Amino acid sequence: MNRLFDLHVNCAVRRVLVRHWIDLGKISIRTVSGVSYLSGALCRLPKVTPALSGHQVAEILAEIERVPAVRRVQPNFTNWWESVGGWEPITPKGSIPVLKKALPEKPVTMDLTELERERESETERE
Amino acid sequence: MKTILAVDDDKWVPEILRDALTMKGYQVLTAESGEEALRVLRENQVDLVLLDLNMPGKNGFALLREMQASRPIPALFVSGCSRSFSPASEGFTDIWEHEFAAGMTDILYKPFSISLLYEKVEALIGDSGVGENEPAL
Repeated sequence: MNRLFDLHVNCAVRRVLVRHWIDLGKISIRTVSGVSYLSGALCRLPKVTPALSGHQVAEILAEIERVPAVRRVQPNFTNWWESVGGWEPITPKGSIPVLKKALPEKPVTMDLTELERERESETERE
Repeated sequence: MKTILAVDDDKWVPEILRDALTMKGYQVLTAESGEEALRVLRENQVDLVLLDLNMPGKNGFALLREMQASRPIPALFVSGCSRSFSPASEGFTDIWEHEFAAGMTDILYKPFSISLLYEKVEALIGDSGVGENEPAL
């Protein structure tokens, strides 16, 4: 019985993706016991503009979560990654963008005491 | 046992699909043209149609339309050309807004892995219905 529900969920998930003009050939949908696994690239069909934004990716996932009988959505996209602030596109090279290194809490300063001592000793010698 | 109809004018494609899907316990029928596919569909209880998009005579979109006229049937387009699935292609928008929007139609781009083929087929119609301990044929 669960399998039949899962097939209905797959069908409903496809309907959501079609509403958003998602290229079904680049994504795979699999539902097991109400958990929907989405894997592959989430992108629109060729010549459909505008391209997806991170906000729209979140919207699509929220729509899928609202499908009756969906307990959870498990996305595993090759072209999006979930950051703290939302969904971000993965760079064309296929790597996740490197996060900017956090700045040190204290500004970097130079210790001038040694330099000053050297100058003082030089002036004394003169 | 579930039955799949593979339609492609390239003879080797339905053969490969048949070999791969038979191993999973599905019964696979083949057709090399739209007319032959419609005849097979009339004579058999088919659970899923694997369709080539570009065939001489009827293209895949027109064929799916004709198939769906008698009863809704899940379909998987097996195509080497992703550009064909765009609003710029003739007849695409109509089929996207009807057959695809119903949720029973999917796309598989060539070249594809056999595991992806299984995943797409199972997502549309479930497994073959043959028990794991039973022989597939």
